[in-house]
Amino acid sequence: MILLLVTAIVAYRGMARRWVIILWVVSLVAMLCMFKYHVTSKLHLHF
Amino acid sequence: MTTMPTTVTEPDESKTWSTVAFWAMVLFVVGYCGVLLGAFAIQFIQGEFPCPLCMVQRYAMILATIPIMWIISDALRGQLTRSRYAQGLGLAIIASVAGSLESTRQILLHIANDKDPGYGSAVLGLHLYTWAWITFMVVIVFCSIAVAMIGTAVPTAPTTKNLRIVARGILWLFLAIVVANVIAIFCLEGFSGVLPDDPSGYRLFHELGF
Repeated sequence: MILLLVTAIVAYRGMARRWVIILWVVSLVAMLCMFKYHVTSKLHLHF
Repeated sequence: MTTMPTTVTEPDESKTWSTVAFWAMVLFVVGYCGVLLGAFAIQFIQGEFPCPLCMVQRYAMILATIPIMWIISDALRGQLTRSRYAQGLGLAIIASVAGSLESTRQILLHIANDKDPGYGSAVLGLHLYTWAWITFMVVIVFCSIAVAMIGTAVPTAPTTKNLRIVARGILWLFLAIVVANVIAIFCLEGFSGVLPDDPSGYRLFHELGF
């Protein structure tokens, strides 16, 4: 969450495009890792 | 011998559409500020604590809004280029796709069990994770339309001082909501750094002995 705040501040301040994108991608990966960590059960659904 | 042109010139930008595009981006931020404030209202007024999957969906909403805030911020500084605009829209679409996957997982989790009433109370007949999925779909469609119109409209900030203050104020509101989320998540997680699957209180206060 703090990473998201830092990314938001960096984007708002208009810092270098490289930094905004790097921080944004790191935040996305961190969010997906957190999602993976919390998803523990297997769904018994058949499509 | 005739030479083929190496670049394709963009059609003329429409000033009206560029202004509309700017305020559409501001409206996007206002929309997600409203959604995040609504989630806070349910958390603090109704006393329903967000589960870990609800929180990662909030993260995805913030992740989708950051590139749009970047676009508005650059437009206000007069530094927005067509490529940066496209980049921002692309990032917002990626975040929304990720968020929609998270929402879909939570919807299916509660559909899988016939006796599961769902997590939390419903708003207008739908649970919050279903509303979250709808917002992600709206963002994908919104950004796709903006990309489709990129030859005609690149957001242009207003020159009027008051309108610029309004736009900047909305960005500050969004930043304040992100700060509030940081504080709220810290109170929910406490020093463990991880949300319980079914939170029933603010762990930090228990740990501090309140």
